[in-house]
Amino acid sequence: MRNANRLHSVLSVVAIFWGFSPSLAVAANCPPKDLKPNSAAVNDEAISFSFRSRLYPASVLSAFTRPDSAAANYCIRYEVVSRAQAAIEKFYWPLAGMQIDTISPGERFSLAITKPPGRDPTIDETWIYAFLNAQVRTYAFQRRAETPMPTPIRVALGASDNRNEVTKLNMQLSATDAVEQRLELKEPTKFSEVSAEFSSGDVIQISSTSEAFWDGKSPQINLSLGIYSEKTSVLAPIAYALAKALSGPELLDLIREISSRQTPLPFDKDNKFRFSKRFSPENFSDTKALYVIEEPIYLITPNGKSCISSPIYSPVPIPGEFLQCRLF
Amino acid sequence: MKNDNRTHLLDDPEATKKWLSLIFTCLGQLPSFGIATGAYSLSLYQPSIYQGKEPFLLVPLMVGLFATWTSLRWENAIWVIMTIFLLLSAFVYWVYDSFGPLSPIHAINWILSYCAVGLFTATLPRVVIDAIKVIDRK
Repeated sequence: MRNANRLHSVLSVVAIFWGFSPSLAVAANCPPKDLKPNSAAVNDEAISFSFRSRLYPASVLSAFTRPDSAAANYCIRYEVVSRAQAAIEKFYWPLAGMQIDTISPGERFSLAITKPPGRDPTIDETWIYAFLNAQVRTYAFQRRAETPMPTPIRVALGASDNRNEVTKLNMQLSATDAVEQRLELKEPTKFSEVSAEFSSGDVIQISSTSEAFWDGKSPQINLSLGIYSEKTSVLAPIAYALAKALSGPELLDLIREISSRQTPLPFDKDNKFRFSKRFSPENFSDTKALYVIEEPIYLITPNGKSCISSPIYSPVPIPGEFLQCRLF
Repeated sequence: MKNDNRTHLLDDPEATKKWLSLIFTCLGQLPSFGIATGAYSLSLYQPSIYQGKEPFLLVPLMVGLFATWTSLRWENAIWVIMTIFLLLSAFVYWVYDSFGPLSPIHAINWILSYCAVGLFTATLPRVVIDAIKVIDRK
């Protein structure tokens, strides 16, 4: 027994050394999970869904932390806790970027997500949906990006007779609404880390961190996606395609292919998927700017499917159709 | 004076029917048009059930146009269209009420619900014209 304990301790140290810890690190500078309802910094709202003559109460909580510097990102945490006697199905909270097939009674889902720097988040209206058509208006911390992509002139699309130009422009037009942030590439810079962390008790824990650098010649993007969850398959088509693509058009083809084939992310022995890559200006047409997009990450467990939106850096804008969670 | 107006409306019943068909077809497509453009949401289902399926709203558009065209070409088409509308509405209600929220059939049912609206509005021009005729006789 003593030997077994010693072996367990040694294995734990080795596992932690290799980055395979039983719980993933909390996203940097984010409110800790399991938000306390009575805390002054936490907004707690009681909601109730109605479906086929039954009520399904739940709590939605939100909180944020201010960044250390004006240029750093905010972090907002959103949580939903089921207070119902039966499962809440088809839960969808657009503001938080959360879609969950089934929330069991008492279950809590928590998502911490970074948001671009700017004014403080405020408590504002948000809509949450569940079941077939149950919708609830409630309130949560939120804020919009202050450096969105400029509104394109849609009329110009039809004016071009160059097929490649049309495709390129079309790609940007369709991405306009979905782009979270556009960052101009001028002086060599290290951009703020963007991240998301999603958990449901000890069953699902996943974290995604993306960094970007600009040395004046080509942008470099690093991404690390770690998971601690048994029997969970993770689909992140955009992250996977970014790791493999050698050019802008190939990137879109790969996203399409990975999405349609539902190819899961290949995790290494540390339960991480990571890449560090320079995107050459020759192959990626728009390298005068970097984009922070919110990519869908799908988690498929024996208990059901869920999808979250996680911010990552991209060298090109991604069409909106690839940025929507589609659980079916 | 009122009677005169009614008589003018039915002076050219075919033209009136065509104009009414155009108006009601447009009205019938408004719910799906609102969803497709994101202008407003008049839907049987919540967004996560139909998100990404918006291009399939071309199906109700085609159904609405075809039903209107048929009713213009064939006098008795209203009875066929009305029967299909009733059967389709019953099916949409049955699916909505019987299947669990996780069933993928709801995405198809969402499209069918707009087809039902398109069929219903295709029958309305004839109903309106007949109603005017009845009022006119009085």
